[in-house]
Amino acid sequence: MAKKTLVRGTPAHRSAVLALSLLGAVVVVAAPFVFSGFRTFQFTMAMVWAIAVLGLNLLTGYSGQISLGHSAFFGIGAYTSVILIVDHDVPYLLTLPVAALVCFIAGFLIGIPALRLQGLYLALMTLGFAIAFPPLVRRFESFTGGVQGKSIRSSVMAAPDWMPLSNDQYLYFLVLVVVVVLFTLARFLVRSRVGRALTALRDNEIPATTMGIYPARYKTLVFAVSAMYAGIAGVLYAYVIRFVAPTSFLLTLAIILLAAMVVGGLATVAGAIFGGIFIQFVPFYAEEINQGLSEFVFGSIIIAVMLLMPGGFMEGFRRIRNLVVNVADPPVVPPGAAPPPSATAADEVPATTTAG
Amino acid sequence: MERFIQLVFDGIATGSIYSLVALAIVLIYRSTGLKNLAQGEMAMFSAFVAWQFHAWGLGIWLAAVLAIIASFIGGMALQRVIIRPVQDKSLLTVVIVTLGLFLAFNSLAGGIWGYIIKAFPPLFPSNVISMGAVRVPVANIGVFMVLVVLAGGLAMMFKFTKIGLAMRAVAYNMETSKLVGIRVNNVLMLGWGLACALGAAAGIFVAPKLFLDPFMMFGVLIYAIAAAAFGGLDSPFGAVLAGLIIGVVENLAGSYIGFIGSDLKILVPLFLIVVTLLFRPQGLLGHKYVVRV
Amino acid sequence: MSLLTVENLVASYGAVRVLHGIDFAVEEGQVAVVLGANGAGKTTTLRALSGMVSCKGSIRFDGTELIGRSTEDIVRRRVAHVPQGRGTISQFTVDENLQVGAYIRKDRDGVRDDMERMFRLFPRLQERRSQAAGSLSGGEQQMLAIARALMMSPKLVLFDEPSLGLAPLIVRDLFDTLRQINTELGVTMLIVEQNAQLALEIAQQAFVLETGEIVASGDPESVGKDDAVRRAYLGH
Ligand SMILES: Nc1ncnc2c1ncn2[C@@H]1O[C@H](COP(=O)(O)OP(=O)(O)O)[C@@H](O)[C@H]1O
Ligand SMILES: [Mg+2]
Repeated sequence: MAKKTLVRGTPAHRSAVLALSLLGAVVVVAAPFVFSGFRTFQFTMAMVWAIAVLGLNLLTGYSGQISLGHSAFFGIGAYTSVILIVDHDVPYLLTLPVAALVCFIAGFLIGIPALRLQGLYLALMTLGFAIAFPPLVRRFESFTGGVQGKSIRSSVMAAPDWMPLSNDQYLYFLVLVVVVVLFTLARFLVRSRVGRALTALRDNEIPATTMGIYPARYKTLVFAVSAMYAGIAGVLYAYVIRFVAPTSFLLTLAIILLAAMVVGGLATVAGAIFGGIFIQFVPFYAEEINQGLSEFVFGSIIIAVMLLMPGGFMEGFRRIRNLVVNVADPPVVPPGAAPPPSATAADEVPATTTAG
Repeated sequence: MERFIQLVFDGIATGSIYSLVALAIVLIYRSTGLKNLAQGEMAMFSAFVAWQFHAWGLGIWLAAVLAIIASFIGGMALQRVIIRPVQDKSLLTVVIVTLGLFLAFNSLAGGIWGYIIKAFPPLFPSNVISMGAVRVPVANIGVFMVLVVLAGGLAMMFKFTKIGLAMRAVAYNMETSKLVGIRVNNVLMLGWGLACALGAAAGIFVAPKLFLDPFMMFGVLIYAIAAAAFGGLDSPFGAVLAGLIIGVVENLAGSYIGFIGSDLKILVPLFLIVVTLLFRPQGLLGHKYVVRV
Repeated sequence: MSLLTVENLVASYGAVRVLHGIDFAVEEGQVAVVLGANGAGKTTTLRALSGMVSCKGSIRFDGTELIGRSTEDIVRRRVAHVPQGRGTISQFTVDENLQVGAYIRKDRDGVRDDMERMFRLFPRLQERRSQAAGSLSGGEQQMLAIARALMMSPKLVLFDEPSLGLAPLIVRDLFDTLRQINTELGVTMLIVEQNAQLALEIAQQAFVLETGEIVASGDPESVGKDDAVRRAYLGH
């Protein structure tokens, strides 16, 4: 079979993407009805991780900075939610925006000093933050429940009566809605003026400054958004697991999120999904063999990916896709040049770039 | 007053531990230009190796020396196999790789030796010297002496030996280093080997105090990084001094400021990192280089 | 026999070929100058000689083939290279730069003597011995780069546009110093320049490089008289 070439933005390419998306949507919606409750729970958790990975990727992939503090933001989100639900009887859905805001502000405050300096400083400061978080939680015991942790009664998180869903299925769809919203938001951010400014920053700071973009301000902002994503993931984690303790949010979690990001593919929004699946399922199978093995696998995979396939899973995905079909960007038509012969009707050529 | 002196002495003892690890961070930075975030975990792993040799029946000092040699070789091998391929890539790539090492070493230790805390045999006699009401364990003095010797040795190596000069040259400017005939790859490999050996020494000397488990360096790492940043990443003496200061300040703050207590001591290094980065990014004794273009 | 003989040298960056088989030779003890516009391939030629770009053809130096050897090996055969821009370690002091320049030498006494000689040659450097190289002026940095290269007691020194970015008066000084080094120390030199006038004055051989090919060669007088060369490099 001869390989076909699909040009981005042409009707053929759009139908292919649409068909695949529909297929994907059907699979995603059908999954909790096909698989067992436990599998559904695992898929839900994979989505939770994916949100945190996406948050990290917004930061690292698009601004070239590393955060090792996302375990702490994740933990702050989870604790905020649990404390509000358990001690203050706040409806659980309401805790999500509150925790998101808390993490946004925390990220902003930490980002202010760290992002003014180049290089590893954000990594170092957030590393300290990640290490300090569990002792802090233990210290304010009356508030956080200390070493014992805190749990949410299962009745709180039950599916509403009017929904014909089991609790597992309900949580699955709840998380799915958040995933869809946050991934759409991320795509939007990445393609917005701010997103493109950030990419400019990552690739070279000096032209960005001359473009009138203030690196520190944007970086702080993106760091806050990134922390917010981690916090929201933490809230959803609390919904699903219904238990928080200091040991759930160690520095290793931050590194694992980072690993998942790298494995999914730096600077790709879709890669975060693979990252989430990776976090959920690698330990599940590796730990059957040895307790320490899953993290060893994570560590080794980070190194292997960086050495062999720096683009991560998405690069692999593209390589495999290219075995079946070529996807090409449309030729750039210089302004005023004659349209290419293939474009017979002008309205068939959709806009491929949005003017800044 | 006696309580104060006691706290200072105890602070110096913990500070020596931070300084030892900070020294390894400084060494690798000075000889390769990298900041290795896995330094603490590698030190922990080396300490386990020494523990293993001892468990097989070797004397503890012999076990320590063998573990240090093994770490030297292991460090060179790591550089050759894992770091060299990414050496020329972006800072981000290298950092991610060292984080991979972090995770791998942490869990490898857990996988091999388990997560149950082990007592590490003492390297120094267990008596305590009393000066009035102030009591100083001989072990603390021993660790401090080791620190002084290593820091001094390192500083002399960098300043007075040809290989020290070559290491610094490579860290600052690889291309010019090649042009004066320095075998850059060998020097980088040696730098990693030495840093791992030094890290091993740090791990082995702190293990009797902290007890041995895969997470033993989690707490120390942040202090060590704070010490390295605060003291100046390119200055061995700066790192040692900063480590000692942090140890003492932390101990005093933890005892005299009721709110801080023992759990929040960890805020001390964090605070120091922030303050250093904001007001003196090159650190206490580090050099700030003016470059005319 | 020439000290350096280059035959059919081809160098590329990836798929882009930059040198299309050039030939030239440099006689022992002489100063040779390569003229060429920006992008002609001058830097690439020198980098090829130092083993810093992969290339094909033949580079015979002092009886051995250099192609395929590493930079470190080539340097150990006493080929020094003063790269374009800054050839020093800016964080090092002047002293340390000179010491590291002598890295490959084992004769401590000889190194000490040479250091003294460098300070006689460049008194400004002696005044600034313990200052960081990065804090020196452009001219001083270039002097230091040259001194650093001479510290290995080289048989051949490659200079990549030594006058670049220096004030005209300083450039004149610089070429006087280069001539002095050549006559007093007998060091063979290959100088790459856009500043043709002064370079031709101190040279005994000249080559003109244009988009990766040698288009003229000979003694400096005749090359300097060549009409095309005059127009392109001498500005009259
Ligand atoms: N690292 C590189 N990668 C790709 N092309 C290069 C590189 N360096 C130089 N070139 C190209 O090779 C040609 C010759 O460059 P160069 O040797 O630096 O010229 P010169 O020193 O005479 O100005 C130029 O066209 C330049 O664009
Ligand atoms: Mg050039």
